[in-house]
Amino acid sequence: MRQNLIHRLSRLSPSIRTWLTDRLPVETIDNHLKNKMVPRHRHTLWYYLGGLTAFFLMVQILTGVLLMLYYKPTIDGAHQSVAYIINEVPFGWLIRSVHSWAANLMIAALLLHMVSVFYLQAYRPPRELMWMSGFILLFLILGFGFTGYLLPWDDVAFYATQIGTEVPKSIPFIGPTLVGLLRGGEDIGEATIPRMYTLHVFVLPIATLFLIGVHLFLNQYYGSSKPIKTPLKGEDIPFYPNFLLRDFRIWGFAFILLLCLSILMPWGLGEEADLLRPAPEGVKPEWYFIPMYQTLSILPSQILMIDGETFLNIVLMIGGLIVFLLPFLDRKAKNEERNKFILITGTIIIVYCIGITISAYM
Amino acid sequence: MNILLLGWTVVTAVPFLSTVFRYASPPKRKGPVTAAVATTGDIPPHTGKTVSLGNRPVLLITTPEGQQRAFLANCTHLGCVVRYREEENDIFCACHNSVFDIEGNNISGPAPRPLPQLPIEIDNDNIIVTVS
Repeated sequence: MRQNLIHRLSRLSPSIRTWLTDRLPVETIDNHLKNKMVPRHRHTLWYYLGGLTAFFLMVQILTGVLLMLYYKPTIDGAHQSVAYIINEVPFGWLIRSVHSWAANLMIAALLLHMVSVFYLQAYRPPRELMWMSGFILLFLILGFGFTGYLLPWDDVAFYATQIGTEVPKSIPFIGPTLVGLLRGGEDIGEATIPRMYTLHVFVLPIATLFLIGVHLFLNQYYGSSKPIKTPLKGEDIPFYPNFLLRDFRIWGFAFILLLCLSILMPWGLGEEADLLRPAPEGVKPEWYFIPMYQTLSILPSQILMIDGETFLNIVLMIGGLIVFLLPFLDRKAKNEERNKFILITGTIIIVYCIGITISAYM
Repeated sequence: MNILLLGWTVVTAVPFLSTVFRYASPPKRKGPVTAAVATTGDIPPHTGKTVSLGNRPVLLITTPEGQQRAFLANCTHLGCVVRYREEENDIFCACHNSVFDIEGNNISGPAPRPLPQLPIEIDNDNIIVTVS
Protein backbone atom coordinates (compact mmCIF):
# COMPACT_ATOMS: atom_id res chain seq x y z
CA MET A 1 0.00 0.00 0.00
CA ARG A 2 1.67 3.16 -1.18
CA GLN A 3 0.77 6.39 0.53
CA ASN A 4 2.51 9.55 -0.57
CA LEU A 5 3.55 12.46 1.59
CA ILE A 6 0.67 14.65 0.44
CA HIS A 7 -1.80 11.92 1.42
CA ARG A 8 -0.19 11.67 4.86
CA LEU A 9 -0.37 15.43 5.34
CA SER A 10 -4.09 15.33 4.55
CA ARG A 11 -4.61 13.60 7.90
CA LEU A 12 -3.39 16.71 9.72
CA SER A 13 -5.73 19.53 10.68
CA PRO A 14 -6.30 21.95 7.75
CA SER A 15 -4.57 24.87 9.45
CA ILE A 16 -1.36 22.87 10.15
CA ARG A 17 -1.46 21.33 6.66
CA THR A 18 -1.76 24.72 5.01
CA TRP A 19 0.97 26.16 7.20
CA LEU A 20 3.34 23.31 6.23
CA THR A 21 2.51 23.23 2.51
CA ASP A 22 2.97 27.02 2.31
CA ARG A 23 6.44 26.76 3.76
CA LEU A 24 7.84 23.42 2.55
CA PRO A 25 8.28 22.12 -1.02
CA VAL A 26 6.06 19.13 -0.18
CA GLU A 27 5.49 18.09 -3.78
CA THR A 28 9.18 18.24 -4.66
CA ILE A 29 10.08 16.18 -1.57
CA ASP A 30 7.32 13.71 -2.39
CA ASN A 31 8.49 13.32 -5.99
CA HIS A 32 12.06 12.77 -4.80
CA LEU A 33 10.99 10.14 -2.24
CA LYS A 34 8.88 8.36 -4.87
CA ASN A 35 11.82 8.14 -7.21
CA LYS A 36 13.65 5.28 -5.48
CA MET A 37 12.46 1.74 -6.24
CA VAL A 38 13.94 -1.49 -4.89
CA PRO A 39 14.00 -4.43 -7.31
CA ARG A 40 12.65 -7.76 -6.09
CA HIS A 41 14.85 -10.80 -6.83
CA ARG A 42 16.71 -13.56 -5.02
CA HIS A 43 19.42 -11.14 -3.81
CA THR A 44 17.07 -8.48 -2.39
CA LEU A 45 18.20 -9.37 1.15
CA TRP A 46 21.53 -7.65 0.52
CA TYR A 47 19.80 -4.29 0.13
CA TYR A 48 19.22 -4.15 3.90
CA LEU A 49 22.92 -3.88 4.75
CA GLY A 50 23.35 -0.18 3.91
CA GLY A 51 20.41 0.76 6.12
CA LEU A 52 21.68 -1.52 8.86
CA THR A 53 25.05 0.25 8.81
CA ALA A 54 23.22 3.59 9.10
CA PHE A 55 21.23 2.25 12.05
CA PHE A 56 24.39 1.25 13.93
CA LEU A 57 25.90 4.65 13.13
CA MET A 58 22.88 6.33 14.74
CA VAL A 59 23.38 4.16 17.83
CA GLN A 60 27.05 5.19 17.83
CA ILE A 61 26.22 8.88 17.70
CA LEU A 62 23.68 8.62 20.53
CA THR A 63 25.84 6.49 22.86
CA GLY A 64 28.95 8.50 21.89
CA VAL A 65 27.29 11.75 22.99
CA LEU A 66 26.33 10.09 26.29
CA LEU A 67 29.90 8.83 26.86
CA MET A 68 31.24 12.34 26.21
CA LEU A 69 29.41 13.53 29.33
CA TYR A 70 31.95 11.71 31.53
CA TYR A 71 34.97 10.88 29.37
CA LYS A 72 38.18 12.87 29.99
CA PRO A 73 40.60 12.97 27.01
CA THR A 74 43.83 13.26 29.03
CA ILE A 75 46.55 10.75 29.82
CA ASP A 76 45.64 10.79 33.53
CA GLY A 77 41.90 10.95 33.05
CA ALA A 78 41.17 8.66 30.09
CA HIS A 79 41.41 5.24 31.73
CA GLN A 80 40.02 6.47 35.05
CA SER A 81 37.01 8.11 33.42
CA VAL A 82 36.16 4.98 31.41
CA ALA A 83 36.49 2.90 34.61
CA TYR A 84 34.21 5.45 36.32
CA ILE A 85 31.64 5.19 33.52
CA ILE A 86 31.68 1.40 33.80
CA ASN A 87 31.72 1.09 37.59
CA GLU A 88 29.99 4.18 38.99
CA VAL A 89 27.67 5.82 36.48
CA PRO A 90 24.16 4.31 36.43
CA PHE A 91 23.90 2.17 33.26
CA GLY A 92 27.35 3.45 32.28
CA TRP A 93 28.56 -0.11 31.64
CA LEU A 94 25.60 -0.64 29.30
CA ILE A 95 26.08 2.58 27.31
CA ARG A 96 29.79 1.86 26.92
CA SER A 97 29.16 -1.76 26.00
CA VAL A 98 26.51 -0.80 23.43
CA HIS A 99 28.92 1.78 21.96
CA SER A 100 31.71 -0.78 21.58
CA TRP A 101 29.52 -3.59 20.27
CA ALA A 102 27.68 -1.28 17.87
CA ALA A 103 31.05 -0.12 16.50
CA ASN A 104 31.98 -3.71 15.68
CA LEU A 105 28.57 -4.55 14.23
CA MET A 106 28.60 -1.35 12.18
CA ILE A 107 31.95 -2.26 10.62
CA ALA A 108 30.76 -5.84 10.01
CA ALA A 109 27.57 -4.56 8.32
CA LEU A 110 29.55 -2.07 6.27
CA LEU A 111 32.07 -4.68 5.09
CA LEU A 112 29.23 -7.04 4.14
CA HIS A 113 27.47 -4.16 2.35
CA MET A 114 30.60 -3.44 0.35
CA VAL A 115 31.14 -7.13 -0.44
CA SER A 116 27.52 -7.46 -1.61
CA VAL A 117 27.85 -4.38 -3.85
CA PHE A 118 31.01 -5.93 -5.25
CA TYR A 119 29.41 -9.31 -6.01
CA LEU A 120 26.25 -7.74 -7.44
CA GLN A 121 28.54 -5.43 -9.45
CA ALA A 122 26.27 -2.58 -8.43
CA TYR A 123 29.17 -0.17 -8.91
CA ARG A 124 28.68 -0.17 -12.69
CA PRO A 125 27.50 2.97 -14.48
CA PRO A 126 25.78 5.21 -13.56
CA ARG A 127 26.58 4.40 -9.91
CA GLU A 128 30.37 5.01 -9.97
CA LEU A 129 30.14 7.92 -7.54
CA MET A 130 28.10 5.83 -5.11
CA TRP A 131 30.86 3.22 -5.03
CA MET A 132 33.55 5.87 -4.63
CA SER A 133 31.73 7.70 -1.84
CA GLY A 134 31.07 4.33 -0.16
CA PHE A 135 34.74 3.42 -0.41
CA ILE A 136 35.76 6.68 1.29
CA LEU A 137 33.05 6.08 3.90
CA LEU A 138 34.59 2.67 4.64
CA PHE A 139 37.87 4.38 5.47
CA LEU A 140 36.16 7.01 7.60
CA ILE A 141 34.29 4.33 9.55
CA LEU A 142 37.50 2.33 10.04
CA GLY A 143 39.00 5.64 11.20
CA PHE A 144 36.28 5.81 13.87
CA GLY A 145 37.28 2.33 15.02
CA PHE A 146 40.95 3.19 15.05
CA THR A 147 40.70 6.55 16.83
CA GLY A 148 38.11 5.29 19.32
CA TYR A 149 40.16 2.25 20.20
CA LEU A 150 42.87 4.28 21.96
CA LEU A 151 40.49 6.39 24.05
CA PRO A 152 40.08 3.93 26.99
CA TRP A 153 43.91 4.04 27.25
CA ASP A 154 44.36 0.42 28.26
CA ASP A 155 47.22 -1.90 27.36
CA VAL A 156 45.71 -3.45 24.24
CA ALA A 157 44.48 -0.05 23.01
CA PHE A 158 47.93 1.40 23.45
CA TYR A 159 49.67 -1.34 21.48
CA ALA A 160 47.05 -1.45 18.75
CA THR A 161 47.54 2.30 18.27
CA GLN A 162 51.31 1.99 18.50
CA ILE A 163 51.32 -0.53 15.66
CA GLY A 164 48.55 1.19 13.70
CA THR A 165 50.32 4.55 13.73
CA GLU A 166 53.73 3.02 13.03
CA VAL A 167 52.60 1.35 9.79
CA PRO A 168 52.02 4.60 7.83
CA LYS A 169 55.48 5.83 8.90
CA SER A 170 56.99 3.91 6.01
CA ILE A 171 54.79 5.58 3.36
CA PRO A 172 57.29 7.30 1.09
CA PHE A 173 57.65 11.10 1.59
CA ILE A 174 54.60 11.80 3.76
CA GLY A 175 54.78 8.90 6.27
CA PRO A 176 56.67 10.50 9.20
CA THR A 177 54.68 13.77 8.89
CA LEU A 178 51.41 11.86 8.89
CA VAL A 179 52.44 9.85 11.96
CA GLY A 180 53.55 13.03 13.75
CA LEU A 181 50.15 14.61 13.05
CA LEU A 182 48.33 11.54 14.39
CA ARG A 183 50.47 11.07 17.49
CA GLY A 184 51.11 14.70 18.34
CA GLY A 185 54.81 13.87 18.59
CA GLU A 186 57.27 11.19 17.64
CA ASP A 187 55.84 8.70 20.15
CA ILE A 188 52.42 7.90 21.52
CA GLY A 189 51.89 9.85 24.71
CA GLU A 190 49.79 12.51 26.38
CA ALA A 191 49.50 14.50 23.13
CA THR A 192 47.98 11.52 21.30
CA ILE A 193 44.73 11.14 23.27
CA PRO A 194 43.34 14.67 22.56
CA ARG A 195 44.19 14.26 18.88
CA MET A 196 42.45 10.92 18.58
CA TYR A 197 39.52 12.31 20.56
CA THR A 198 39.20 15.37 18.31
CA LEU A 199 39.28 13.16 15.23
CA HIS A 200 36.80 10.71 16.77
CA VAL A 201 34.14 13.15 17.97
CA PHE A 202 34.53 16.07 15.58
CA VAL A 203 36.54 15.69 12.37
CA LEU A 204 35.42 12.19 11.36
CA PRO A 205 31.72 12.72 12.20
CA ILE A 206 31.55 15.90 10.07
CA ALA A 207 33.27 14.22 7.12
CA THR A 208 31.17 11.06 7.53
CA LEU A 209 27.81 12.84 7.77
CA PHE A 210 28.64 14.92 4.70
CA LEU A 211 29.60 11.85 2.67
CA ILE A 212 26.57 9.89 3.89
CA GLY A 213 24.45 12.78 2.63
CA VAL A 214 26.11 12.50 -0.79
CA HIS A 215 25.80 8.69 -0.77
CA LEU A 216 22.10 8.75 0.19
CA PHE A 217 21.28 11.47 -2.30
CA LEU A 218 22.84 9.42 -5.11
CA ASN A 219 21.09 6.30 -3.84
CA GLN A 220 17.76 8.10 -3.82
CA TYR A 221 18.40 9.55 -7.28
CA TYR A 222 19.47 6.31 -9.00
CA GLY A 223 17.52 3.80 -6.92
CA SER A 224 18.87 0.33 -6.17
CA SER A 225 20.85 -1.42 -8.87
CA LYS A 226 19.48 -4.56 -10.51
CA PRO A 227 22.02 -7.39 -10.52
CA ILE A 228 23.32 -8.58 -13.89
CA LYS A 229 21.40 -11.48 -15.47
CA THR A 230 19.21 -12.09 -12.41
CA PRO A 231 15.51 -12.76 -13.01
CA LEU A 232 13.21 -10.34 -11.23
CA LYS A 233 10.34 -11.51 -9.02
CA GLY A 234 7.41 -9.24 -9.75
CA GLU A 235 7.22 -5.46 -9.54
CA ASP A 236 9.80 -3.25 -7.83
CA ILE A 237 9.06 -2.19 -4.25
CA PRO A 238 8.82 1.55 -3.53
CA PHE A 239 11.56 2.43 -1.06
CA TYR A 240 9.36 4.96 0.70
CA PRO A 241 7.50 3.83 2.71
CA ASN A 242 7.38 0.08 1.94
CA PHE A 243 11.03 -0.91 1.94
CA LEU A 244 11.82 1.58 4.71
CA LEU A 245 9.29 -0.16 6.96
CA ARG A 246 11.01 -3.47 6.24
CA ASP A 247 14.29 -1.76 7.10
CA PHE A 248 12.81 -0.77 10.49
CA ARG A 249 11.93 -4.40 11.12
CA ILE A 250 15.56 -5.43 10.50
CA TRP A 251 16.73 -2.57 12.74
CA GLY A 252 14.49 -3.93 15.49
CA PHE A 253 16.17 -7.33 15.29
CA ALA A 254 19.60 -5.67 15.15
CA PHE A 255 18.77 -3.66 18.26
CA ILE A 256 17.79 -6.82 20.15
CA LEU A 257 21.02 -8.53 19.04
CA LEU A 258 23.02 -5.47 20.11
CA LEU A 259 21.40 -5.40 23.54
CA CYS A 260 21.91 -9.15 24.03
CA LEU A 261 25.61 -8.89 23.16
CA SER A 262 26.08 -5.79 25.33
CA ILE A 263 24.38 -7.33 28.35
CA LEU A 264 25.63 -10.91 28.06
CA MET A 265 29.17 -10.00 27.01
CA PRO A 266 29.83 -6.51 28.41
CA TRP A 267 32.85 -4.83 26.87
CA GLY A 268 35.83 -5.00 29.23
CA LEU A 269 38.55 -2.56 30.15
CA GLY A 270 42.16 -3.73 30.38
CA GLU A 271 44.93 -2.51 32.64
CA GLU A 272 45.89 1.14 32.25
CA ALA A 273 48.50 1.63 29.51
CA ASP A 274 52.08 1.95 30.70
CA LEU A 275 54.50 3.42 28.17
CA LEU A 276 57.37 1.40 29.65
CA ARG A 277 55.66 -1.98 29.94
CA PRO A 278 56.84 -4.45 27.27
CA ALA A 279 54.21 -5.57 24.78
CA PRO A 280 52.10 -8.38 26.26
CA GLU A 281 52.25 -11.72 24.43
CA GLY A 282 49.42 -12.30 21.99
CA VAL A 283 48.52 -8.62 21.71
CA LYS A 284 46.17 -8.03 18.76
CA PRO A 285 44.26 -5.13 17.29
CA GLU A 286 40.50 -5.30 16.60
CA TRP A 287 39.42 -8.04 14.17
CA TYR A 288 39.01 -5.68 11.23
CA PHE A 289 42.70 -4.75 11.34
CA ILE A 290 43.90 -8.34 11.82
CA PRO A 291 44.53 -9.11 8.10
CA MET A 292 47.01 -6.23 7.91
CA TYR A 293 48.51 -7.00 11.34
CA GLN A 294 49.03 -10.70 10.59
CA THR A 295 50.37 -10.00 7.11
CA LEU A 296 53.00 -7.77 8.73
CA SER A 297 54.12 -10.68 10.90
CA ILE A 298 54.60 -13.07 7.98
CA LEU A 299 56.33 -10.64 5.64
CA PRO A 300 60.12 -10.86 5.68
CA SER A 301 61.96 -7.78 6.95
CA GLN A 302 63.24 -6.98 3.43
CA ILE A 303 61.41 -7.49 0.13
CA LEU A 304 62.88 -6.29 -3.17
CA MET A 305 65.43 -4.20 -1.23
CA ILE A 306 62.75 -2.36 0.76
CA ASP A 307 61.38 -2.83 4.30
CA GLY A 308 58.50 -5.31 4.67
CA GLU A 309 56.07 -2.66 5.98
CA THR A 310 56.98 -0.21 3.22
CA PHE A 311 56.28 -2.97 0.72
CA LEU A 312 52.90 -3.67 2.35
CA ASN A 313 52.04 0.05 2.35
CA ILE A 314 52.81 0.30 -1.36
CA VAL A 315 50.73 -2.83 -2.11
CA LEU A 316 47.82 -1.52 -0.01
CA MET A 317 47.90 1.90 -1.66
CA ILE A 318 47.95 0.44 -5.15
CA GLY A 319 45.24 -2.10 -4.17
CA GLY A 320 43.12 0.65 -2.60
CA LEU A 321 43.40 2.79 -5.72
CA ILE A 322 42.35 -0.15 -7.90
CA VAL A 323 39.30 -0.84 -5.71
CA PHE A 324 38.41 2.86 -5.64
CA LEU A 325 38.54 3.04 -9.44
CA LEU A 326 36.91 -0.36 -9.95
CA PRO A 327 33.80 1.01 -11.74
CA PHE A 328 36.07 2.48 -14.42
CA LEU A 329 38.29 -0.60 -14.70
CA ASP A 330 35.53 -3.19 -14.98
CA ARG A 331 34.65 -2.69 -18.65
CA LYS A 332 32.54 -5.85 -18.85
CA ALA A 333 30.16 -4.71 -16.10
CA LYS A 334 29.49 -1.56 -18.12
CA ASN A 335 28.06 -3.80 -20.81
CA GLU A 336 25.95 -5.77 -18.30
CA GLU A 337 28.34 -8.77 -18.36
CA ARG A 338 29.75 -10.50 -15.30
CA ASN A 339 33.51 -10.02 -15.03
CA LYS A 340 34.83 -13.39 -13.84
CA PHE A 341 38.43 -12.19 -13.49
CA ILE A 342 37.46 -9.40 -11.10
CA LEU A 343 35.03 -11.61 -9.17
CA ILE A 344 37.62 -14.40 -8.72
CA THR A 345 40.39 -11.94 -7.73
CA GLY A 346 38.06 -10.31 -5.19
CA THR A 347 37.07 -13.71 -3.82
CA ILE A 348 40.73 -14.71 -3.35
CA ILE A 349 41.41 -11.49 -1.40
CA ILE A 350 38.29 -11.96 0.76
CA VAL A 351 39.16 -15.62 1.48
CA TYR A 352 42.73 -14.57 2.37
CA CYS A 353 41.46 -11.90 4.82
CA ILE A 354 39.01 -14.33 6.47
CA GLY A 355 41.59 -17.13 6.61
CA ILE A 356 44.36 -15.03 8.12
CA THR A 357 41.93 -13.54 10.66
CA ILE A 358 40.82 -16.99 11.79
CA SER A 359 44.46 -18.17 11.97
CA ALA A 360 45.28 -15.21 14.25
CA TYR A 361 42.70 -16.31 16.81
CA MET A 362 43.65 -20.00 16.77
CA MET B 1 35.57 37.95 -12.68
CA ASN B 2 35.65 34.16 -12.20
CA ILE B 3 39.44 34.13 -12.59
CA LEU B 4 39.74 36.89 -10.00
CA LEU B 5 37.53 34.95 -7.60
CA LEU B 6 39.56 31.77 -8.15
CA GLY B 7 42.80 33.67 -7.64
CA TRP B 8 41.49 35.24 -4.43
CA THR B 9 40.38 31.81 -3.14
CA VAL B 10 43.81 30.31 -3.81
CA VAL B 11 45.61 33.30 -2.30
CA THR B 12 43.61 33.01 0.93
CA ALA B 13 43.35 29.19 1.07
CA VAL B 14 47.08 28.42 0.76
CA PRO B 15 48.24 30.48 3.78
CA PHE B 16 45.20 29.32 5.76
CA LEU B 17 45.87 25.62 5.13
CA SER B 18 49.59 26.10 5.66
CA THR B 19 48.94 27.76 9.05
CA VAL B 20 46.59 24.92 10.09
CA PHE B 21 49.16 22.32 9.00
CA ARG B 22 52.01 24.05 10.84
CA TYR B 23 49.86 24.40 13.95
CA ALA B 24 48.85 20.72 13.95
CA SER B 25 52.42 19.48 13.31
CA PRO B 26 54.06 18.83 16.68
CA PRO B 27 57.37 20.57 17.40
CA LYS B 28 60.47 18.43 16.91
CA ARG B 29 62.06 16.82 19.94
CA LYS B 30 64.68 19.12 21.50
CA GLY B 31 68.33 17.94 21.44
CA PRO B 32 69.82 14.94 23.27
CA VAL B 33 68.80 14.15 26.84
CA THR B 34 71.40 12.77 29.25
CA ALA B 35 70.51 11.50 32.72
CA ALA B 36 71.33 8.95 35.37
CA VAL B 37 68.55 6.39 34.92
CA ALA B 38 69.53 3.62 37.33
CA THR B 39 72.37 2.28 39.43
CA THR B 40 74.40 -0.79 38.59
CA GLY B 41 72.87 -2.46 41.65
CA ASP B 42 69.41 -2.14 40.10
CA ILE B 43 70.38 -4.42 37.23
CA PRO B 44 72.33 -7.51 38.33
CA PRO B 45 74.08 -9.61 35.65
CA HIS B 46 71.72 -11.47 33.33
CA THR B 47 68.78 -9.10 33.89
CA GLY B 48 67.16 -6.15 32.14
CA LYS B 49 65.08 -3.13 33.09
CA THR B 50 63.04 -0.61 31.12
CA VAL B 51 63.30 3.03 32.17
CA SER B 52 62.03 6.30 30.77
CA LEU B 53 64.36 8.95 29.40
CA GLY B 54 63.10 12.02 27.54
CA ASN B 55 59.66 10.35 27.35
CA ARG B 56 61.16 7.36 25.53
CA PRO B 57 61.51 3.80 26.79
CA VAL B 58 65.12 2.70 27.26
CA LEU B 59 66.09 -0.93 27.87
CA LEU B 60 69.08 -1.38 30.18
CA ILE B 61 70.62 -4.82 30.35
CA THR B 62 73.57 -6.27 32.21
CA THR B 63 75.12 -9.14 30.30
CA PRO B 64 76.05 -12.40 32.07
CA GLU B 65 79.64 -11.05 31.92
CA GLY B 66 78.57 -7.93 33.85
CA GLN B 67 78.64 -5.34 31.05
CA GLN B 68 75.89 -2.72 30.89
CA ARG B 69 74.16 -1.85 27.62
CA ALA B 70 71.37 0.56 26.78
CA PHE B 71 69.03 0.40 23.80
CA LEU B 72 66.08 2.39 22.62
CA ALA B 73 63.36 -0.10 23.64
CA ASN B 74 61.10 0.40 20.61
CA CYS B 75 61.20 -2.55 18.21
CA THR B 76 62.50 -1.48 14.81
CA HIS B 77 59.55 -3.25 13.18
CA LEU B 78 56.48 -1.40 14.50
CA GLY B 79 57.66 0.29 17.65
CA CYS B 80 56.35 -2.04 20.39
CA VAL B 81 58.35 -1.99 23.63
CA VAL B 82 60.78 -4.93 23.72
CA ARG B 83 61.93 -6.88 26.79
CA TYR B 84 65.01 -8.77 27.90
CA ARG B 85 64.46 -12.55 28.20
CA GLU B 86 66.69 -13.96 30.89
CA GLU B 87 66.16 -17.60 29.89
CA GLU B 88 67.17 -17.04 26.25
CA ASN B 89 69.60 -14.16 26.98
CA ASP B 90 68.07 -12.15 24.14
CA ILE B 91 65.72 -9.22 23.53
CA PHE B 92 62.19 -10.05 22.41
CA CYS B 93 59.24 -8.17 20.92
CA ALA B 94 55.90 -9.86 21.58
CA CYS B 95 53.99 -7.96 18.87
CA HIS B 96 55.40 -9.94 15.94
CA ASN B 97 57.96 -12.18 17.66
CA SER B 98 61.10 -10.34 16.58
CA VAL B 99 64.26 -11.40 18.40
CA PHE B 100 67.46 -9.37 18.92
CA ASP B 101 70.72 -10.55 20.47
CA ILE B 102 72.22 -8.69 23.43
CA GLU B 103 74.21 -6.52 21.03
CA GLY B 104 70.85 -5.34 19.63
CA ASN B 105 71.25 -7.16 16.29
CA ASN B 106 68.00 -8.39 14.73
CA ILE B 107 68.36 -12.15 14.48
CA SER B 108 64.86 -13.38 13.66
CA GLY B 109 61.35 -12.14 12.97
CA PRO B 110 60.27 -9.20 10.83
CA ALA B 111 62.36 -6.47 12.53
CA PRO B 112 64.34 -4.87 9.69
CA ARG B 113 67.14 -3.22 11.67
CA PRO B 114 69.14 -3.62 14.90
CA LEU B 115 67.93 -1.81 18.02
CA PRO B 116 69.62 1.59 18.31
CA GLN B 117 72.29 1.29 21.01
CA LEU B 118 72.63 4.35 23.27
CA PRO B 119 75.82 5.85 24.70
CA ILE B 120 76.30 4.79 28.32
CA GLU B 121 78.59 5.92 31.11
CA ILE B 122 79.05 4.60 34.62
CA ASP B 123 79.76 7.24 37.25
CA ASN B 124 79.93 6.09 40.89
CA ASP B 125 77.58 3.18 40.18
CA ASN B 126 75.15 5.51 38.38
CA ILE B 127 74.23 4.45 34.86
CA ILE B 128 74.15 7.59 32.71
CA VAL B 129 72.46 7.27 29.32
CA THR B 130 72.08 9.73 26.48
CA VAL B 131 69.13 9.58 24.12
CA SER B 132 69.03 11.86 21.09
